[in-house]
Amino acid sequence: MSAFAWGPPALDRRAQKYLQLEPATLGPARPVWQEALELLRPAAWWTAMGFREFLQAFAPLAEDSQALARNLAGAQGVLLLAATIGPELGERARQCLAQRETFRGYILDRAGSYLAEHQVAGLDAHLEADLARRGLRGGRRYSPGYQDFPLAAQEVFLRLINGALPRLHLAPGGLLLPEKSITAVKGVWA
Amino acid sequence: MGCLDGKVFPLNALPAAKAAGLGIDQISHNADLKAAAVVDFYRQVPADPMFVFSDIVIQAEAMGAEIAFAPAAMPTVAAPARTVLLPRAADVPRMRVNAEAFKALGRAFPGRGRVAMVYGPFTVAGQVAGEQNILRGTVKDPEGLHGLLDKCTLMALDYADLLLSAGAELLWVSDPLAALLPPVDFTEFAGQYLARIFGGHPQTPSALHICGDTTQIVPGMVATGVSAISFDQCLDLMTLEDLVPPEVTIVGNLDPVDLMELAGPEEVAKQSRDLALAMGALPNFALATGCAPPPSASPLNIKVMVEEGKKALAEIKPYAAKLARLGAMVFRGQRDGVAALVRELLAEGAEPMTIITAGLMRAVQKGSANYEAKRCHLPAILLMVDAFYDGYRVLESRLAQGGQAGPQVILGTVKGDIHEIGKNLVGIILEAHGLPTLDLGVNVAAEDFLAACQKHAAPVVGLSAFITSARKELSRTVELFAGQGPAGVKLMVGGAAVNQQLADSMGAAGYARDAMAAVKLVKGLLSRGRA
Repeated sequence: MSAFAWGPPALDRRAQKYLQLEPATLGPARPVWQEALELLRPAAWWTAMGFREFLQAFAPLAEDSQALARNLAGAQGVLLLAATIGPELGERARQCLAQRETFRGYILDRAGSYLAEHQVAGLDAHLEADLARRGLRGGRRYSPGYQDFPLAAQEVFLRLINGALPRLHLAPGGLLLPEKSITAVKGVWA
Repeated sequence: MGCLDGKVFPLNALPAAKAAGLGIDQISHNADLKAAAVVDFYRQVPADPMFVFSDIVIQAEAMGAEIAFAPAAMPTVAAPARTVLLPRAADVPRMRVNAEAFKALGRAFPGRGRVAMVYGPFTVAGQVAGEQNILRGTVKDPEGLHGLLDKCTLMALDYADLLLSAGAELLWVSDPLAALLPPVDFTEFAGQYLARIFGGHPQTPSALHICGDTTQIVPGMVATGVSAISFDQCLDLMTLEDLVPPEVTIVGNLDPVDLMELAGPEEVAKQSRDLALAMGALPNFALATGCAPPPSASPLNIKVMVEEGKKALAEIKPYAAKLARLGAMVFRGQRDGVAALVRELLAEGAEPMTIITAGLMRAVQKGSANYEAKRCHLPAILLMVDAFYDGYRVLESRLAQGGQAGPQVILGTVKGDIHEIGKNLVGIILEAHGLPTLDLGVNVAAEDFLAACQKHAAPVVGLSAFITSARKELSRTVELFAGQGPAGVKLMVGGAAVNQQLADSMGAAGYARDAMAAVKLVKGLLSRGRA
């Protein structure tokens, strides 16, 4: 598969809507958005595997999840993907709130969520394009924690990522850290 | 400056009859009895201005409606007028009773203002011809309705003349039925007639009261040329203050029933003071009830309201202009200069709590009210909160010397979850609304929530959960409190892992979608707890 390079988006109408900005708050939000961009440390990982191999790797979690089974019905293989924007932005947001800089903290946090989602959507689109070139099609991304696909699946992801995203780790309860990180399974069909 | 600016008073004087041990039917017909009752009432209640005991059907009765009187209830319309009459006010016995009582009030309290209270043409037309009939008339027979409204206006003008010639300094028109008009019809069927009444006495200050949610007709009310607008208790005055021009007095709006009749004097004192401090920095504010306290309301409560309200207004008066400027800066989220202005106020002698309540916090509360009214998003509130804290930091050390109140809310993210940003935001915003919190942090076990709640006697505990796997712990915590928690403690839940349905199913007292919803929820839970 080809290399993936992600470019962060502008503070366009869509981003403004996500951040709940209006004319009075857009001005003060611009430098915060800029700070968010400067704090990004994006990294991404993906791999492809056959469907059986996937079930084995994620046994028994994947087979026990009816929702995931519905999502992957008939898939011949899967893509596993992970993306993170790094911990710096989240740490800065927390620091701001601790100092009662609530606007900056909130905008940084929301911007982090938006940028992480934008990054993984970019990776997803990149993989889709790659599949299409090979006459394949991909399904909807499905992440641990969705419906009955448990957060414990993050452990398997981390094992498979195997240090390729060195700062990715698990907190107690299976929560993936840094917070603005996303893992997902994506079915592949002929 | 408006003639009501800075005044404190209840609307009308209806508890006067009971306080004097007289029947409402008696004082409605006897000038001496009424005069004695209202004079006695205002001896107890140091309100300025004063009203005579005025009933809403007096003009309709004069115009031919049949009225039912009773000792312990206000007069009501028993039947609409068979023929619409237009007598001279001076020839109507009960109008003469009110004029005489007015003169007696003037003799008893020469330095205090008196209000001539008359009823609006749309309301009187509804009593004379039947409410349903006139509401239908706005669509089916507007010409006929205008004819009736014209007569009601002439009656109101004549009655107002009678009271004003008896010494009243202010003309007050209450037009409660106008609240039922669609806003687009307000000016045609109510506003233009009210404007004629106010225009008929151009030198006399005036006030207009319409019950209910009048938000949409505020521009129409202002356009009548009135000099003060009295708002119902259902409204948040902070959402309205920008709709009212500075030359018009904002009058309101303590609850006449839940507070003045049903609450105790302590709660009356607290709410009177809170409203006076929240609104009193505006030069065009008068503290009053949101409608007339009923005949059964306690005169003691009304006395407490007036005394506490006056005290609070006097407290902020020397600093009012600067407090208003401070509030406006915080409301705009304009941080430059907030700390400096707070220092100036301190140097001039303002109390730290006054600066917080009447300047910093009122701005955040106004922002919250606008947020509730869907006029802004959360980031706008957060800019205000940041400006609030710029000022608060200057005051913090002085407040600590006076001792800190215990937490009202204990917050934490449940065990198994370490998300904190949303929870932290809730804590900060609760504090900016004057609700002290204790944050236990993240990954907090149910037993630790319980121990903290027992130790600090906080009435509300807020549990946050972001990940779905934390829901079990959330339920476990709610169950633990149900079994072992202190009586009366309320649990609220929030965070991405929960919604209202889940909160209900696990037995939580409430669910907050975001930090602003948490403020509203906590205030509701605390007031229910008090009740």
